[in-house]
Amino acid sequence: MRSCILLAGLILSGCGERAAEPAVVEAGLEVYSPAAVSPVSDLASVYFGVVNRGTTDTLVAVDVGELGVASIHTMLEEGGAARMVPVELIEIAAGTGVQFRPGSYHVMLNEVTRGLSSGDTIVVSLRFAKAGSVDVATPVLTYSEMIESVEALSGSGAIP
Amino acid sequence: MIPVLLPATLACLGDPPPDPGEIRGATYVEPLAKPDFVLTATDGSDFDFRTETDGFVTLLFFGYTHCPDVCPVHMANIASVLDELAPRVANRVKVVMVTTDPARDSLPRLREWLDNFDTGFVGLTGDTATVNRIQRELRMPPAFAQETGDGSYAVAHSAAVVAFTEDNRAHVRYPFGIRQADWAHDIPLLVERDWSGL
Repeated sequence: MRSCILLAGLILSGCGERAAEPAVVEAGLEVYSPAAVSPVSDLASVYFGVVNRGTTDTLVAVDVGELGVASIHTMLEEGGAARMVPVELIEIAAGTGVQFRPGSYHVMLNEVTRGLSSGDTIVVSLRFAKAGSVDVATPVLTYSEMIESVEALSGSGAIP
Repeated sequence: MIPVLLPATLACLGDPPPDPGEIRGATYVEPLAKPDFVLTATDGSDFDFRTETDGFVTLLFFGYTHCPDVCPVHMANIASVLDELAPRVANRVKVVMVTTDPARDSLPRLREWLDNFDTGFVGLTGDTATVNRIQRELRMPPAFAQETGDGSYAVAHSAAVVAFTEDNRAHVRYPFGIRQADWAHDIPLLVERDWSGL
């Protein structure tokens, strides 16, 4: 009987994956699993997921203040070569979401003014056309921790 | 009750495990010869690729330190898996990154970047003509710089890691998207299988 209960529990919990909780909920927007990584002192990348529970909105910019210069990129692979492409806007229709993840959308921070270490937290402002700025406290992780975080969010089903 | 629930539970575990002998990387129809080149290592010394990597499984990647996404993720995945593998396997693997951005990747910067992942990873730099020649020999498009519109540039480059085995040929390459579980599965096979007759 115990094994029956255990099996049922696994199924009900979606194969053991826990539903992700948003880190920030503001103006109808939910931000999940923010994570920053920094491979060298003057450069960093930021990943997160956003779900829009309100009306259709557009992510128009990302800002980290004096910490550095932020820009949104995505990765395209053509003719055997991967290249980064700047992204001006990301429209997020009502009830949908977008996940920033390796090989896809990412925020690149250039000219980072202070070295970031695992355990630090930075503030990343996501600027939306309608909702305005949403500040996201973003932990600095190791690459392995970031990859784990991104994969957990992908598997959670939190991003429609 | 168990007969009803068991199939659903098995489905949660994903596809049936692959044949342990089946490599997860992309195999070349015709294995590639190990390219012959000498580039400069991060300590300033000459690094003769064929001599220095002879007898080792060698994972060769072309990337650059301003690469925010593909390059560090590959390096982090490989480093994490090598940390977990038995030393008798991990000690037979060398990881070599050749910069595709020699103008910005000074030797100290390349070293700082690689040390984030593993202090044993080899970083190499050299003239563009040589690096382009190596990429062509490995059937990769030579990397090229591309303006990003903000006064800076990114470098388009192959996102694949080429794996040379002890027979000094490459039978397998690993495109971006390969996961740690795949590396953990394949690296012991790259080390322990006899690839010489394949």
